[in-house]
Amino acid sequence: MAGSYDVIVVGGGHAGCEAALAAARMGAHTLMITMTIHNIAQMSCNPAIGGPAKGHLVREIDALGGEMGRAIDDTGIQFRLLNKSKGPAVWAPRAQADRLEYSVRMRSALEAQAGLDLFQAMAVRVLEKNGCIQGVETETGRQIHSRAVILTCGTFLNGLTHIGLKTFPAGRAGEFPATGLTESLSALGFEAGRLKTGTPPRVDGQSIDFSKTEIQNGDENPQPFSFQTKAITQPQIPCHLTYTRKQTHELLRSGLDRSPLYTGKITGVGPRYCPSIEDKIVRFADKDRHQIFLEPEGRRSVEFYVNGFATSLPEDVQVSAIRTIPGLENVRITRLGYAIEYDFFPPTQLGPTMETKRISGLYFAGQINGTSGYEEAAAQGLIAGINAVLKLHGASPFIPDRSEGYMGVLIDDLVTKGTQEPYRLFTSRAEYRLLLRQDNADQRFMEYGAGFGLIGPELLERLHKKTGAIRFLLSALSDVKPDPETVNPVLVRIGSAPIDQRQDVLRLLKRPHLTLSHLSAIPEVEALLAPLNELRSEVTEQVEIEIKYEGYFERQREQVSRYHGLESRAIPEYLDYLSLQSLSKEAREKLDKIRPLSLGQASRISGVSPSDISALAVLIARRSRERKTPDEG
Amino acid sequence: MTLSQNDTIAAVATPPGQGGIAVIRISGPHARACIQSVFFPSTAEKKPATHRAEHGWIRDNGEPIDEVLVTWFQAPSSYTGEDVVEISCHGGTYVAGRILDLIIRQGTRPARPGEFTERAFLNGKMDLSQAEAVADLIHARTEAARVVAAYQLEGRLSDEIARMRELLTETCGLLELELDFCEEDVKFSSRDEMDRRLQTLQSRLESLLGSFARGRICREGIRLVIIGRPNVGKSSLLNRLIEKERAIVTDVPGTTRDTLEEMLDVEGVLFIVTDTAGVRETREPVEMEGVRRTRQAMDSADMILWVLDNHESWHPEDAVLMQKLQELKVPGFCVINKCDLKTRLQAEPAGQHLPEWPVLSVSARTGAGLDRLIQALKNRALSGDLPGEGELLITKARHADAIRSCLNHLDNARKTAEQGLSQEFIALDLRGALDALGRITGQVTSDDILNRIFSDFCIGK
Repeated sequence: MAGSYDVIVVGGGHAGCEAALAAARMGAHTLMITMTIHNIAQMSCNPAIGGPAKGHLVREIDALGGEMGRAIDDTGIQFRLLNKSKGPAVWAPRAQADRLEYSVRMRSALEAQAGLDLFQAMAVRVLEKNGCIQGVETETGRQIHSRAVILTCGTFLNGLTHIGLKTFPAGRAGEFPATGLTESLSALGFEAGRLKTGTPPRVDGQSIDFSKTEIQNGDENPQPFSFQTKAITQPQIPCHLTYTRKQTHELLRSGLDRSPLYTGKITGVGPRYCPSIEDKIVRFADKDRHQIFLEPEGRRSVEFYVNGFATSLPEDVQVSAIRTIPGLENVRITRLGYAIEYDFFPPTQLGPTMETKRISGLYFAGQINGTSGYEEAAAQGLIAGINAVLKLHGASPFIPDRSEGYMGVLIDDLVTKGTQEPYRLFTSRAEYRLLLRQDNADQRFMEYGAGFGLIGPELLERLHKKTGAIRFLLSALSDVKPDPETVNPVLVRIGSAPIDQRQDVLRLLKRPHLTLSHLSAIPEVEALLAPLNELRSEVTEQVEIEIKYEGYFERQREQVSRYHGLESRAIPEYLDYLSLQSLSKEAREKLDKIRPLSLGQASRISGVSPSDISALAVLIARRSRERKTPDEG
Repeated sequence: MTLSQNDTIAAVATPPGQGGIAVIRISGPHARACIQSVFFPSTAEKKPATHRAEHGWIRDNGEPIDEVLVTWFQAPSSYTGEDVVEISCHGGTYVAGRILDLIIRQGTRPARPGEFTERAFLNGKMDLSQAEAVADLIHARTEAARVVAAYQLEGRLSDEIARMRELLTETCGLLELELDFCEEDVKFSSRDEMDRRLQTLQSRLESLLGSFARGRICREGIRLVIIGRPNVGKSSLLNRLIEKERAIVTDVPGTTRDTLEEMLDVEGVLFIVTDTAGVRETREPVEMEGVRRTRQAMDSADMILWVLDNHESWHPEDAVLMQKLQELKVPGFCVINKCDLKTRLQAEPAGQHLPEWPVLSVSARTGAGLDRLIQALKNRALSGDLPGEGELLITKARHADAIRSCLNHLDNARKTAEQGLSQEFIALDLRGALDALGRITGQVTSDDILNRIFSDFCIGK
């Protein structure tokens, strides 16, 4: 192993993997330090990837040249496109993963990557000099030097797990916590906080009576996550659905006096969108059942993940309560549910490249920033990895904005608003949601990926062919005006009203349920579609979406251009916020801490009220006015 | 360089012209210090206290200028949120100007128009809609305008908007629930339920918007145009109205001899009355110009008084005028003047062709029927009483625009839902509706809006 690196990535989770792969693929000599090499890319919580907003994120990661999409395509055991009954903007791919296979698959990618070294150790200190990163020190006292360091420590920083009133220092059940790093960062002036999350028990599938549960199968034609995967060919495994009962709730309630959550033992803040089962029965006491998904852990495991039953209640309560659930009457718990508290660093201490404002060359990505979710972590890791190398090359940073992708929304939310609870991405966080679809992630990000060398020339060429074909079809189809005799049989067949004079195909396409494959019965349409060959379904889907929702997209595009207007109103960097009496005290402090780059960014900071923004706008305008006509004296 | 307002500004805060007293307002960190060498309190040994008036003299190099009361408002408990000193002196342009000049020489700067309120806004003493209300309060020429502005200043409009935003936010939440938590076992609200919510919101917004006509009248007054053939007694009617109300106000400069504008305060409602040249067919150039202006005045009228002469018979030109009035579709009154004289007029055609127009008989000479006319004018203008305590009125075109835009979004949202499109398309418009409401309380505000607001302010309020 060399004595020094361009980039050191501390942590081998989902953020760490993407960061290390991106850095090495961009030519940086990279080292990944992880506490347990055989736990690389471990799914600490549920064995699944995707869902609303998260699935979108994976598609963007993939388009940018990340690994996550391909890894889940290779190792998924059940694929579903959620929200299929709704519009295309919220269609969300989701897959159950084979937990072990996924980890092995990702580890192979790291091991095969040229320019990337792996080293099992615990980093206990970051090395810094004059505000610049120098490398890290391991627990054995070895100093490894580098020009950039990306910390992706997950839930390991001073991790403390809880089962009932018992606590165990651990980064994950059965793994050591990472100690020393928080203290090292705090000594450098970083502010740390404490969050909490939890996970349900795992059970032995051989002891489940599936006949008492509802089966939930994957899609018949599974859609891959990656733009590079041709098709999902592996057989799929079903999940099962069951429900808690009143009796379950009673038993859970009887254990609340030994709940670390309700006795005040846990001080970290947990996610409201992912409550523990005890939280659910207390906060929603009138609900007499809660759904429980039984998710297989993998092809070569008998374990099932009891999704919906996250708990940190004592062992005896977990066992007795879970056995009241239909299908689980005789179940054997293989691993207990637990809660974990861990340190995080409020992400308002970062710039939009994920680099810390305090130390040049030091980046944070993933759960260390207070996020939750593998996808959120991976996206941050990728952004941090790319930007670390761009900075080493002296190139301008890569900062996707809120109108470009969920990655932009995620990063802007984190660095601008920070977070009070483990942060998760939702589609509702994206103002320009209709444009940020999983189906067009390639059109939004692949060009960037190619620019960084993360997307190969063949893929780029394919993208260009595809976008060219979409543009061509959008114009060519408007010139195809079939007569009623040709079209009406098609229209009648799908129950759409017949036409009485020629109408162009784009106008026809606006009709609900009418697709280009219906219209390919018209020879002129087929003549345009036939040369598309293997791009045919992708291209026609894009054309159909674009035409059917044209009016809505147009309005979103107008909103985007307004957003860019406010975003381009720069705020002078040296502004002394603390002296601005016209701003509320909270706004002064927040603005001073976050130092937004634009009025647009400032307007999204929580605690900065509309009138603070107005005041800021007036102050900036006045300042430029006073610059033009300086005050006398 | 910091952007804080660290200079001290001063201006005469009362309107120009003769009055009982005039107030000079000084705001900024040196407000107190700058009067030190010019104000001589009558009880010099006492320490000045905030929010207490102090009696004394303003002297310029020993020369007494005026006997004054000085009040010091210590920051942040002042109008602007800064240290403020107000000097109440004897009214009159000269004295106030002299004192202001003296204060400026002590190292303060003349305030720009609206700057006191700008500072109040910047110091977080009021939000945008409140800042606008101050502008209205200053400009309030009548009781009605004052009442509306005062309620808005209390934050009533902001409160109502906030309540509606709450309702909208809640509805948005219900839509998002279905998109982001599609796998959860939660009960999604039905389309019918959402539609009901949006309808409720629409009707609240519509009633707010409906108040705009009334609100605008309260704020800006009502444009009343008196028309009629020559010598039917239009001017004497106007004079009589003015005399009766004893609240004339000033001639508006720039009006011509042909159309004269008067401000008339009818029990709290402002009427901007235009007396027009008599309308008749003419070839005489000066008179033709007068008639042209009369037509112009009619076009901009909110209400019309059509004066007929009781002592003369129906004239073909009355018919021409009546036709024009029918086309205009402006509310009005048919006033039959000279009812103290012998009746020669047959006014039936007026009743037939303008059925909505009440016919009132008056005598400008004796004053008969005038009270009824005044009462009718007021009732018609406000369709009732002055704004009451519980009433919320939209008085600003900007607010009305925002509400219209919000309504438009709600309408789109309902149409989208009707077409069977899914939640994210509906949400697009509900977000738009939220943003529209935010424009009233100043959520996202462009410089244009701010510039307008602050330029609307009279100096020193």
